[in-house]
Amino acid sequence: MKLVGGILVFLGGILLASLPVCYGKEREEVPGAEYENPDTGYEVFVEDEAGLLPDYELLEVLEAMKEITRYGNAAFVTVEENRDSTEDFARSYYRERFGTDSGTVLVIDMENRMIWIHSDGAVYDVVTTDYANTVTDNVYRYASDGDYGACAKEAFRQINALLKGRRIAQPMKYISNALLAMILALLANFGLVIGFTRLRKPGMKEVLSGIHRNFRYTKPNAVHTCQTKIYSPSSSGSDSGSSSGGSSGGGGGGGSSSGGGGGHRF
Amino acid sequence: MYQCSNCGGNLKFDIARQQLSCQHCGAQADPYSFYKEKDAEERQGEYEVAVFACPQCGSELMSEDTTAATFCSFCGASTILDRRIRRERKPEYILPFTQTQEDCRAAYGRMLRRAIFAPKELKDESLIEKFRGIYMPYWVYSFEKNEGITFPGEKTHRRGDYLITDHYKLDSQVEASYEGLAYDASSTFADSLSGAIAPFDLRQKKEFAPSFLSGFYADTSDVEKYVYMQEAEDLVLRDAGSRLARDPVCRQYGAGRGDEDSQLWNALRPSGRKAELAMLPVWFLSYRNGDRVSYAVVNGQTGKAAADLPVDGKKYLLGSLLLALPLFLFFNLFFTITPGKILLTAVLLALLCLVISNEQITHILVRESGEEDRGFSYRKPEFQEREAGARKKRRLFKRPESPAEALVLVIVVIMGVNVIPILMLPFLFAVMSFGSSFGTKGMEIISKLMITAVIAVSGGGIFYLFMAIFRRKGRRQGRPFMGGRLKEKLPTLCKPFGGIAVALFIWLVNPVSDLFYYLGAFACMGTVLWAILDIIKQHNVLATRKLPQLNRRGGDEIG
Repeated sequence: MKLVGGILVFLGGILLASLPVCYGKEREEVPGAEYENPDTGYEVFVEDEAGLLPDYELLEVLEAMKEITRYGNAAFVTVEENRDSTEDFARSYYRERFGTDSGTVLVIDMENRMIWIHSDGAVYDVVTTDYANTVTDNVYRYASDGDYGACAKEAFRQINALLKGRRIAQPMKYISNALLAMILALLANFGLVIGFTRLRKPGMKEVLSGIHRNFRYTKPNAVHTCQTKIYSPSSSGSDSGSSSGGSSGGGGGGGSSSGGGGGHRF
Repeated sequence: MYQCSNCGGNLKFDIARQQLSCQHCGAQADPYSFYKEKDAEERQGEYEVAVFACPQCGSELMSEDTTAATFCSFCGASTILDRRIRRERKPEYILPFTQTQEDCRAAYGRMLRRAIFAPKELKDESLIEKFRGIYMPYWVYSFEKNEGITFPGEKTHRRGDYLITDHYKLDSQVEASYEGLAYDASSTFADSLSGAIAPFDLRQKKEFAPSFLSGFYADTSDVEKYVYMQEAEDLVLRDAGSRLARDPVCRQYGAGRGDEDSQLWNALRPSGRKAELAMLPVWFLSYRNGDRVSYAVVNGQTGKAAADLPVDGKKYLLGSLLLALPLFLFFNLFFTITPGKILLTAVLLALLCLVISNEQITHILVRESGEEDRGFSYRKPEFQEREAGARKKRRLFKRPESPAEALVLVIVVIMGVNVIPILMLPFLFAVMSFGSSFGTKGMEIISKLMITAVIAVSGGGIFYLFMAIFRRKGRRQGRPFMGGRLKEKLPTLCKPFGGIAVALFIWLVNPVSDLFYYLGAFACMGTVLWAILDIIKQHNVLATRKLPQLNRRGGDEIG
């Protein structure tokens, strides 16, 4: 029994360790939560700087994000003040938090009234810019209604579905593509009609091929008649023959990221 | 009718043998050696021939046959044509048919294979049987020049702040002759059709004898020789000028380049010009389409076929649906279009339809007024005046001589036109700061309006300058904005334009909800679909022609 009890305590310890941990000293300033998947090592961060979600909803969002750690890191950030664009904020946050690791971040930017998903690595292979746009298109209404928790949960649910290889609803995509395909097909067929059936005049070469043509001439003889001079000052730098020098090189940037994402106003 | 000396049967021209052949005994006769009293009695420059006139459209066809003609090749009417004997001007040359009616049908069939959306009636055997061999009158122009010419050349180099140009006089002895440029001399035979089956190889021409017409019909000549003389001469000058300009000496002195090309042309202008009337072989078919008519023609010498080919709406729609399916699957696999992008795509498509539709309506208006056909329009005095006016207009920009020159010109044009938005920037900022008093939304809308205006001005400027630079030589010179006649075009063009206006409005308002973007995009796409239907209708108008009504032959089209 002692052994069983010991095992239970050990498992309970692990369970407790895996429970959302509040940010020690930063907890008062930025409410949030985090989690690390013990199998993959990928992490989840929830940072509600704008204070949009109550604590219980932060935990619900965290729960929704956990499954993503099978494929990469995940973060949910809300921001009240942001001088940059939401895209730049999401990109720099991601780089600071996860570097070039695989993962995704959802940002709700209250300054720009914009939600943005930025992904990188293996997750970006699935959650492409197109899909990021689709997911934000699908969830921006929650944010417009002030239901930020539902917005985040639904966004991560759809990201998770994509990572699992499932499909997400894209009704407008299909309608748009159907209309676009029909219009392009009609125009392409009109191109065929014009290309193959419109009456065309033959070119000069073709016309001249069917006639008697003889054109001979003696080598032209050139005789100098006069000379004219036009004042045309050349630009100041070009005729000096010397260069005033210039700068070269440039600062090396940080590690490049192949990630990207998409967003939507709300 | 030419009678066989053996049996008295009817002699007709046999294409395969290139001889007159008896329909009964098979005897053959040389068209030149065949004795015919009428031919011997010919007055100088004229010959006697039976003329069949259509009571409906007034068109006339000449023939050596006395059998009744039962349909009109020009208006497609099934009617007995009125017959009378008349003296006609004798052409100098004839190019006998070398393509039989079977060859003609095969050529027509090959052409129809490309026309996948053509109505099935065009493939009807009973229609194809109506192909009629007609000798069409053509003016054959010849030019020559055997004399010394002088033209200018120059070399430019820089010395300090000066550009020094040395001017030269280039002399050369030219021996040039161009013989056999053919232009149709019948106002009933549209230039677009005669051009489409050109050229004929006039090196095979023969001296005209009326017996060649036996078994065929011939159209009468009613267009004066001077009508196409300038066009033919321009073609000759272009060829001769470009040949001479390619000479290393000319290239060294920049002769025939830029402003010098007109001087080289003037130097090369022919000293001898000649126009001769010739009969050239054409297989001709007409088919009625309501109160309009379409033509199919096959070159009786080369077998080159051309036709007015309308589009069958059902076939076109079905074909488009079949093509749309793989496109739809492809888009779903690779593209996800955001609401903003779908709106932009819809605007671009609407713009494309606007341009196509405008081009087609312009073409229709030009054709329906007869301006497109020099032979036809020459008969209307007001067109002669208009053409003379158009010729006086000079192009603003010279056509670039080389790809490098064209590239430089394009860069200069783009930079030049972009001066406009740069100059407008201070104004833009001023308006934006003023707009801030309306709040963020107001400022956004005003700045977007300004951006739209800048893009429209720059885009329009670039487009206009491109058109000015690269516009084809010839009758399109001096063409007004969008081909003119905007009032007549408005009912059709307002559809895609309306779609663009709706989309731009949504882009300016920039609502948060995607719904507005999708609604705007779908509305714009709806106008695009509508415009495409118009475009197909316009194509079908272009693939048919007004029924000929000729006052020279009793009709009233010209008046």
